[in-house]
Amino acid sequence: MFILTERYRFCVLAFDTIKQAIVTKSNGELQDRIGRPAEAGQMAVIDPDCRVIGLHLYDGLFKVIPMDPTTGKLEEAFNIRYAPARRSSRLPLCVKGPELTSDVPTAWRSFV
Amino acid sequence: MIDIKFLHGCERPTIAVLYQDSKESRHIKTYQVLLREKEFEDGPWSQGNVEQGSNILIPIPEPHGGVLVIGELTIGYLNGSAGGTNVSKSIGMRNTIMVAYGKVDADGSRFLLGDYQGRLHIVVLQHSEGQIVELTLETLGNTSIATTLSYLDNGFVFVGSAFGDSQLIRLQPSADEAYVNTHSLTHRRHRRRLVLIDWHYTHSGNYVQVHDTFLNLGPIVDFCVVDLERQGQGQIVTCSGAYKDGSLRIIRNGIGLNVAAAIELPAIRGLWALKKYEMDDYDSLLIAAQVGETRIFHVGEEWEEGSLGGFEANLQSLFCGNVAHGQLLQITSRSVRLIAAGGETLVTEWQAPAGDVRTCSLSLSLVE
Repeated sequence: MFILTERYRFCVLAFDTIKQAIVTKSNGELQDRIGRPAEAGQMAVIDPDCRVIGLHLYDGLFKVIPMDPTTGKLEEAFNIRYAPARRSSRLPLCVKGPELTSDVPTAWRSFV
Repeated sequence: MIDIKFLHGCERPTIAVLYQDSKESRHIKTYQVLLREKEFEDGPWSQGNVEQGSNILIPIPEPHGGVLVIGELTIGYLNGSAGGTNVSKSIGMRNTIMVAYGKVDADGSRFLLGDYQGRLHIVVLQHSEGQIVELTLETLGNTSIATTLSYLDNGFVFVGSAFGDSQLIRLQPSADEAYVNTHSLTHRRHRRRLVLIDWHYTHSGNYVQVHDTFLNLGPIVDFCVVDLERQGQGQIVTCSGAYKDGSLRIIRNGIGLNVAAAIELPAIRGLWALKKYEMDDYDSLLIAAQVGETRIFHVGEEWEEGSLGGFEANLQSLFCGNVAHGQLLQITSRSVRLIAAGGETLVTEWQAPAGDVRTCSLSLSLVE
């Protein structure tokens, strides 16, 4: 079982049938020094033939952890840069709404 | 980037990517991951301008391969090969947003889909001669709003929910059991297909039967502490869950009990838990005294009523327990029985001289 946390740490857990216990096969960190955290949220996908683990953690980067299909041993991760879908150049804009009486919260409207 | 999935049955690891462009149109592209070059190469197929609400890709296992594209109005099946023609099939549905899916069959011919209102649907990929020819979608019933759907076996499905209580549900093959049974007798080999057909013919029924629910207080967006009974024991009222699964819940300090097993036993006069052997980690015998008899239960993974040679079953016990040297002791209205470890053989017995024994008291090594 591959587990990825929001803080970019991961581990691979397995059940050891001899020890009758859950063991950590490997663990580590996947944080990059640069990159904008993925807008759509973190995504992790595993190749059905167990050759690679793919991660989308930062916009424009697809991180690949190669894996040995027989032993499950992980190799060093690398990033593939791809052309991201162009973002709209407009920035989200917040505009303060009309001032209301003091005991009612001020209304905010947001335009995208 | 909306969704990424690995495709099945590809020579090199291949991903399908669902993304949105600057005009808010959504497209699907496939890429091969080249491990040595550490870069992407264009994959076998791509599809521009899929439905605008598309938000989930479901990879279909071999032998078919390809992906299901789940949108808000349609479900499409897409597949293709390098240079070949793209295969695509699609069906319409009532406007909704699917939030979870789960595979039913290993060959990926049925998938459960859960929408944002907690409705459970099933999409069926019908194939003939190795080709997917048609998609069908049926609504099965209502559950908590699903975050994950895991098909277990025999129609059991675990519905994991972040907004409500998680559930263990069972999908009924049909609203009308008799119909399925008579048909499956004559077409036993096609039973699975028949069950599918049933799903098609009966539209009204709810196929979801809730077997178990797993309490979930989250997400708690607000709460307050109240002391309604004014006894100094505050209760917390929480705003739990969200959307249709939102609820007010009262949390009290206390102890909750879960029933693990229950056996009906009228008029119990005494109850003792014993170890069969001294070295046992846990008590393995439960002895219940009833009027005029003593019943013995073997407790383990399962409960089982049985007899043990050393015990007198036809008299009411006044006491049963473990005593020194791993031996067991049973005191009935007529006698005191010392039983060897294991409970099968009687070591020695003291008969009461006359009349019934009514009371007894003892310390571990001394009986009075």
